[in-house]
Amino acid sequence: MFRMILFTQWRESRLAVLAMAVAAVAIPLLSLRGSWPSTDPWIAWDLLRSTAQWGVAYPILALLAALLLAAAAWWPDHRTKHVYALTLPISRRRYLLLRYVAGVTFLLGITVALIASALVATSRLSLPPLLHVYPFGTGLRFFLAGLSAYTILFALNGLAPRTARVLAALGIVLVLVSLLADLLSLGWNPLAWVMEALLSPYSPLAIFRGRWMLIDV
Amino acid sequence: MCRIRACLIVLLAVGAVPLAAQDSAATLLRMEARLDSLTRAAAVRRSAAARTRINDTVVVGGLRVATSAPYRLLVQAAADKAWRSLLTRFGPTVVEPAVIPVVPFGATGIPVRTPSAVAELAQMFERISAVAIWQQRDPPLTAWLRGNVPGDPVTSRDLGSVAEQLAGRPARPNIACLQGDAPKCAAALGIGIGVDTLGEWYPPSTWPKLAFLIGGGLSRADLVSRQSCMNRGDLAACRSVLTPVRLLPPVGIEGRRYLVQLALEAGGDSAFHRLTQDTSLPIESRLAAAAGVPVRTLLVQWVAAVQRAMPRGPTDPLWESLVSMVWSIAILTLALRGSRWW
Repeated sequence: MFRMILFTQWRESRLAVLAMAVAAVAIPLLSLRGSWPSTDPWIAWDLLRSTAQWGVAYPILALLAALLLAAAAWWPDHRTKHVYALTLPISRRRYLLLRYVAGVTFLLGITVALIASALVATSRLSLPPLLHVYPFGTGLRFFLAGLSAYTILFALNGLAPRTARVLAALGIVLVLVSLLADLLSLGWNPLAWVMEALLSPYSPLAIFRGRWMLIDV
Repeated sequence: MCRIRACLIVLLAVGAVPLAAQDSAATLLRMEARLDSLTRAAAVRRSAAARTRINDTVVVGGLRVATSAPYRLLVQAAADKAWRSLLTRFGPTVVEPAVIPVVPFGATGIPVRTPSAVAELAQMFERISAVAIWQQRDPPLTAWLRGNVPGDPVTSRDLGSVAEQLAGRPARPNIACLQGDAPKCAAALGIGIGVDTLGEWYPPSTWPKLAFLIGGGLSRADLVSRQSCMNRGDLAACRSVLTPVRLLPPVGIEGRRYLVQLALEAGGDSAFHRLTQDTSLPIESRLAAAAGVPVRTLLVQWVAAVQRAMPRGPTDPLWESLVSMVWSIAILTLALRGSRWW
């Protein structure tokens, strides 16, 4: 059953998965492109700067991959009014789990591409003292960030229309209240609180913060 | 046709005047004078505008804040808080005789009405006053800290940046310092180095890029030297442009600030007094006097703290990854609970 689900999902999302995999291969290679002669006294400085500059690309890619994979997991069912899912002799819970795991499998594939590319990119470097390469650490963080965002988006995509409407209405109310509070100079902003909560150290999206350094101290 | 010809003549006349005058030093001087006069006029206008908005003064101890009536209560509360904090931090014998410049607040018209604004404002008043106190009590140390006097405690993240600087900047003492060599850390922090700062900190092969990294504010002669240093590797030109003030230090100022913070923490209540007692002494002697321990001990503590705060790859801290996984499981469980298809 899982193979069938995986296959149907692959058919729907292969372009997105391949594009994300290509991007995952490109980012580490691009971040360490050019020559890094070990005799250059500034090599450590240049490596750290280049890695830091390209570090923002990893969370963006993880978010994008999660968005595309979550959309691809639900899109065929939304399009066909869930007829295919209802014809299968399995419970909704099991079906959703299979769909979810299929998406995670693709995310894992993109992560493997990222780790392989990072290993290739860092293998031709002779590192200055005290610097280390973290291809597996970067890959793991990428996977966990992608997983967090994918899970949230997957859950949002699967909401019943009524719940989705309530959530959308809550969002609009939040924006309106924030605007009103701003206009009245009340000094508090609920939208800012929500954003702060979403990115606070113990929030589901906290993994997106912090250092995304392929090469670090 | 005639109109076109007339236009051409006018254009030539208008264009010819500045072209002819471009090389003239007198014209340049005249323009400079006009620019100066415009700048002065703008300053007078700003000052006049500020006077119309700032019409009240709050005085708490030696702290004076020029403000406007709507902000009075807020400023009073913040100034009280800041003054109490200054007294605790430096002691009355230091704070009361200090001359703190008048702090303007409220002219910008930013609406500030929240209770948290009191704490933020108090922090701002305290910071401005602390800079003034440090500058009056200890100009050499303030200069060594480049005005970034101790205030808010240096965080673990700041120390992580210090570790990154030690590993990334190609200064002679950096690698050994990060590996735990305290005397090398002293050199990296600019303690006990000789007259030739550039030579002691950086090997000549790094000088051209150091020149490239200098920010603005260079004179024409400096710019020529910088070009010569960068393009031809002219070491004499490098020396002339890479003065100690312009030179990228092996460790950022946060590192120096943390050393002073360590000394003040180790020394207890009268540490500030001992630190600033004799400003003619070298900084290392004064730090040792303030802390009550040899400067080497302080440096060992400093490097140990930097090593502890060293970034350890993208999966550090591990709990962040665990939290992310727990959230994923929790959200997935919720998503799978429903029974409706659509």
